[in-house]
Amino acid sequence: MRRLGAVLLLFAALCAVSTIVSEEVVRVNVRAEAGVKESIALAEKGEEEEARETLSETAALWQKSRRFLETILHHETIEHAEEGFLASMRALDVSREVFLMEAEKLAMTLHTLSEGDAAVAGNVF
Amino acid sequence: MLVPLIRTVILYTAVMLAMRVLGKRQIGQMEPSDLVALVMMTELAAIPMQDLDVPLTGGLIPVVTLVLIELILSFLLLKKRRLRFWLADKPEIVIRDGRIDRERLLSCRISLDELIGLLREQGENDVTALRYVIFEPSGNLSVIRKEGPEGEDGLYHLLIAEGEINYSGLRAVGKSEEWLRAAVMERGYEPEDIFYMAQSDSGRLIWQEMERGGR
Repeated sequence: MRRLGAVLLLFAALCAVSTIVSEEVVRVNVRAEAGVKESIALAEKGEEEEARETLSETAALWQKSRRFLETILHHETIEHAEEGFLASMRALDVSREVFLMEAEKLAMTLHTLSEGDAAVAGNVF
Repeated sequence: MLVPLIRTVILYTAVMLAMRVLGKRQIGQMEPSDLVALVMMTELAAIPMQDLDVPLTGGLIPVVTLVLIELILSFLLLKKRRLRFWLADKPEIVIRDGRIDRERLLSCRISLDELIGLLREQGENDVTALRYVIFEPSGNLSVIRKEGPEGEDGLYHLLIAEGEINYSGLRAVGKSEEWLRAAVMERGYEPEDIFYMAQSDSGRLIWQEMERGGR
């Protein structure tokens, strides 16, 4: 029975680590999504410089977690989000409309990333 | 080129370690759950080996999960005989006193040709010379001939396993629980003190106490 107990404990530990990791993936991407949305709101009010600063800070913060995200999520999806950050930054130099379009796409990608690893019935089935 | 190589080494090591932990035997001796785990493990490890977009943890976590599930299941099957009754296959007597049991063959989904072939592999041609042929959960046949000491004793039916009375064994020897309890007490034990007790068709009773070796 001691061995069974030890294996059950290991299984519980694996479940706990998986839950913590999933929560962290959600937290990183939800935080980045909120940052992008804040940047969109600033751009809509005509505060382009503040929007650029917010987006730049959000991108830097998200990049810090990139290595962690790469161990959990599909690399292609992460690269897609990274391209989204770059495209949004470039779009700010072109026009507000192009920026809003690119930033909305980026927010959607980050939303998908945050939902992709969440332990909800929709993802399980 | 180096990344798939490193990934392959890591995943191969992980699967080999998993098999070592599970203590797997030959494919032919595997229980269905063992085979399912083995097939799934190799498939899961192959995905991140080929697709570099898939993180390594996408292969390692399911392999570790499978190992843990397999270990939990095998410990439970060892401890809980009732669970084993539901989850594991049981041995089936397909030949009794030289007569082939057609119903049992059907329930084991084994054809007459296959049975004859398996018997030939054991060097047995004359079915009438066989007292018992048992189709084991591993897929092998156990043969007890009519001639020789084994044939005289016949089949041993399990009456007590790890302190628990085996009622199907009692039914097979045509005895009651009261008889068994009396037989055990006569030897100075309670059924809970007996690790293994079996009776042959000839009536010979063999047993072993729970902790130290017995008969």
